[in-house]
Amino acid sequence: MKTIITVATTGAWPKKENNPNVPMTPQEIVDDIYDCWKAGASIAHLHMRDEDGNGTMDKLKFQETLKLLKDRYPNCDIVLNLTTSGDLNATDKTRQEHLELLRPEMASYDCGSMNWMHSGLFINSPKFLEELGNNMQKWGVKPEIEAFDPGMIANAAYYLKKGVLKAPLHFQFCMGVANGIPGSTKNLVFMKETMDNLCPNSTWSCFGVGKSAIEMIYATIALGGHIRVGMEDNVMYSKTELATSNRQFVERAARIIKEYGNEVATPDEARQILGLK
Amino acid sequence: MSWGAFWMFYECEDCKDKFRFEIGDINEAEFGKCPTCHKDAKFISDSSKDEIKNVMDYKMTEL
Repeated sequence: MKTIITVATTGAWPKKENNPNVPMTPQEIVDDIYDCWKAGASIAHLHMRDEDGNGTMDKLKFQETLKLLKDRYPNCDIVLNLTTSGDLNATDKTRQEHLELLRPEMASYDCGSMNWMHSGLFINSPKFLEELGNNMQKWGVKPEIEAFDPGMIANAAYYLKKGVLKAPLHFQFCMGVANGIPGSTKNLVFMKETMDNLCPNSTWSCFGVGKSAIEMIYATIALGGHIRVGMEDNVMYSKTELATSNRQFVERAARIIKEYGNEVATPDEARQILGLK
Repeated sequence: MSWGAFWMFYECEDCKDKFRFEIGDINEAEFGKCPTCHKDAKFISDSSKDEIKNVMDYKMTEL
């Protein structure tokens, strides 16, 4: 089986004080993506940062970074998956403008609302989700449906039946995030079974945050899913070591995939698996 | 989107040790207890607030 590795290089949270190796500027992000692509990542999930290092949905920042990647590394054919949730204070409009402008192959679709880090709100209203789903179809962008709990899988099933999302769906199970489903193999099995029951024939990927990170890699591969790694989700490589690079995460994922007996999917193989145009 | 590991920070009022637990361990019986004294420790802060400047000042406690 071919296993896709997604690298989430930057996220909206970690800064240099959390890990000095986290890429934050367009230049750093682009160099990092290329490095991870060489190590086996076939999808790059991208967040942008403003001048203060905070998460931003500025479409021009996304545009600058994508152009830099194309100019600097024209042979890099990694699938680009842009976040639509890089700033909790962004508007529905600014969460989508970059997709209309840039028409990436994929983008995140956070399929429900939740409390966030026990301190704020991560709002994905029904109005926003319907608008985003319809727009992504119009713009040819494949949603990566991020599900932080099983309710969000049920939401996806509703949008599928309503025509807002089109089959085959692709999920990203976000395990161990505060206010979401705790990361454990038992819970991952439940998420997968819920998906198989409600949205059959879907593809899926998974990552775990913190202590669940490694367990989720092994459990996901064993259950037939794809893998996401990167500093967006974890700045620690192990319990005691900071990650030296995102490449380090990708290399480990590739080793585990191969030792299990699978093959690491290339970007074109990832496109075929996910039905990307 | 994710936001990294979520920590809860505690201090033992008896031995004055400082330690942290990851929220993934919240179901464990020893969560929130001093690893040395095994008594309920005082909750100080968590990752939702930017109050703990140096996370490493609080010993990571595995359960």
